[in-house]
Amino acid sequence: MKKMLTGNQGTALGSYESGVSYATGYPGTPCTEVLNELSSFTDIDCEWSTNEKVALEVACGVSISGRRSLVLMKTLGLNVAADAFTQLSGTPINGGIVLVVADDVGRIVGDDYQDCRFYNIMSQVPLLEPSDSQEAREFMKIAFEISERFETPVIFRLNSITSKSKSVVHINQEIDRPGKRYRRIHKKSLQKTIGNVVRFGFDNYDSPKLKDYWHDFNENWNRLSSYSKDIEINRVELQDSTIGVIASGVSYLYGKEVLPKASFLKLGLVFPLPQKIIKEFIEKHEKVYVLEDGHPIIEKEIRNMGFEVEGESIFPRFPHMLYFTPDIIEEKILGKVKEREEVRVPFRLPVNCPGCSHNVINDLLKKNNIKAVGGIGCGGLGAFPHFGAIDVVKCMGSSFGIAYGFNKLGSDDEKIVGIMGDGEFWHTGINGLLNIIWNNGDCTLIINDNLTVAMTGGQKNISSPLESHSNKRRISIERVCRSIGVDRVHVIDSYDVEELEKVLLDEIEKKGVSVIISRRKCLIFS
Amino acid sequence: MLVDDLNLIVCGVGGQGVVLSSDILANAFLKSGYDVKATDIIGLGQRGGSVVTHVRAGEKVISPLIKKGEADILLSFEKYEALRWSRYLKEEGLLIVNDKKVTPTSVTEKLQDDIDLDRLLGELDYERMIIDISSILRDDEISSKYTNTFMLGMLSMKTSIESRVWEESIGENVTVGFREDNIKAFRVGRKLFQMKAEEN
Repeated sequence: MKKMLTGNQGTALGSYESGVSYATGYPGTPCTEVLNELSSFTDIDCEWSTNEKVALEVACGVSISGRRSLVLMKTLGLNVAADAFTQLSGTPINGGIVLVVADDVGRIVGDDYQDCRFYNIMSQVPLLEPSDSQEAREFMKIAFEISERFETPVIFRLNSITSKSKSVVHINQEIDRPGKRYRRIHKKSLQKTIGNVVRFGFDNYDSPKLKDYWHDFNENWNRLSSYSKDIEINRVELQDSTIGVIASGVSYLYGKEVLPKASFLKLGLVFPLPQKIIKEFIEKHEKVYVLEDGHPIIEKEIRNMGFEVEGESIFPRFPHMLYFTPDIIEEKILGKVKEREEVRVPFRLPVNCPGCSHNVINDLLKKNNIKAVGGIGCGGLGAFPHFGAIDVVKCMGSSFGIAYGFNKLGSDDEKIVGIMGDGEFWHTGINGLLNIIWNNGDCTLIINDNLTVAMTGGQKNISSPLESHSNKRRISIERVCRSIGVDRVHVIDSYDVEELEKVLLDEIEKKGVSVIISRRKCLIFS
Repeated sequence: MLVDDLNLIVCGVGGQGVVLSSDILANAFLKSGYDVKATDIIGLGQRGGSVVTHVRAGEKVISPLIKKGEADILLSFEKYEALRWSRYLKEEGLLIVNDKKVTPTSVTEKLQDDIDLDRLLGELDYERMIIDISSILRDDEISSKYTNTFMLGMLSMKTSIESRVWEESIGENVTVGFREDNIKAFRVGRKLFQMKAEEN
């Protein structure tokens, strides 16, 4: 049977068919759908964790217990999980762990420029990158095999196009579910600390008692490198010897469309790079181009091998372009320029929905000329120039820490208010609040509680109302705030503008820590 | 029975049903034996952003994205978006546009100057059908929220896919309670296209 699936759906199906026991993650555009899709299968457990680091740690525990797990996040989420990730990568694992990470290359759906492959290189973790939904499904199975065979986490890289693009997937009538896989072969996965102590060149290096605990990281990577040259998802398609193209992900498909006569080396397992195949491929062609979404990472690795390839020289990256389209390839390689002039059409800036509670806060800040630091999500839209209500926006959950720092040494008549949503508060923002209390700071803080994680499509968070039959336990924002020592906690309906304004202006004048919870359910999702 | 490759751009603003249309389209082509790729590109923000979908069907589709100047039909639920993506149309391509304006936020918020939209649309040298769909739907006592399936009805006349397959695909992609009205709007769209074609 043939079915249209998005790359996200293909990814979910492939991991289900790989016998995943547990899926964790944190919502992030464009890959949120993967976990939504997985939760539709009844015999797999899924959770949105409190943040990406926790999600990965949960998966790590699942792996140690011998089960397969999937962890989902966007690239910015991998920054949050980076500490857990880099530690995980140095230890042999038991059950397979695949991190599905989506890069928003080209800032198509969001607002960042990051490339998750830097983490692969830093931590020597293998990375697979599918081109379409069928590959997403097939590669996922290979990702789990690699993860267990080489006892390492694997990154499965999607991007804004591969995640969302719908393409044909061949599905058996009966979905192939091998049952939840169980694999537990050694104790090393529990012994990171000893592993490291032994590894870093102490005299006890050869001690027979400790040797068993030592994970030969390098040897493992060498085995993987030699495996990468035989794996069928790294494919050479020899044609014309004048142009050779080394490509991965969806860029391969763009390249194929524009250069049907060229030879291709398609990389499915991107790291470790199959050096021998690359060398042979380059030697067979007069000119070799590298097509990779994001930063020129494969290209630089190939240059480090001592080969000259074309990439960044004709496809300039930051700040212009980090993604490919068939048009860009056609223009830069074939020199075809579209003659017709582009039409300039005013762009559509994102706005909060009419009636959104975030608008109330934004209006109050503007009206009273209050300086504010905000965060990510629908609340962050207040920082866009057409609102201009919020002065500073950094990352998820950062606003309380920034407000505290600013107020610490600033003058009393130039205070900044910290604002975040309920989702952000639980994600990482709560740490900023703990820090303020511990260090006895002075801050007026607003938690804009719309009872959901709205920007990514209305996922539940810790304080969202429980769904019927839910086996979760809800936690109250105000009770947490009170119990950790916030001096004054106010809970106000976001539509009660008068009261909000009165309390806000009053609190800004006061010493100590106050949290104003402005609460009104999201009009769309809760 | 397969015709040559077909490249379609469907666009509009968030909430107008662009993604649903691409699902219906992709499914209809798949049922008719085509290889299909459909890629939705949705900007930041839940409502009111620019949404565009590339739908490609043929014997074998490689790239999920269409090159500029290679789309056979551009179907737009809104006029600014029609102009924004118009360069994807090939010279002999067909522009089907709902005669409706949703002024971009950068204009309403005075960050950018507005453009003379109707003049610029008029200057495009494509075969075109700009139709006030909500008024036609009103005459047939159909809600304007079915504009997307109405427009799919128009588009369907340019394909060799049977009406039955289209209607099946609509049925599979919308919730039960809305099937009948969607299919009704689809049929009115087909009829209108037929009428316009005969006028020319």
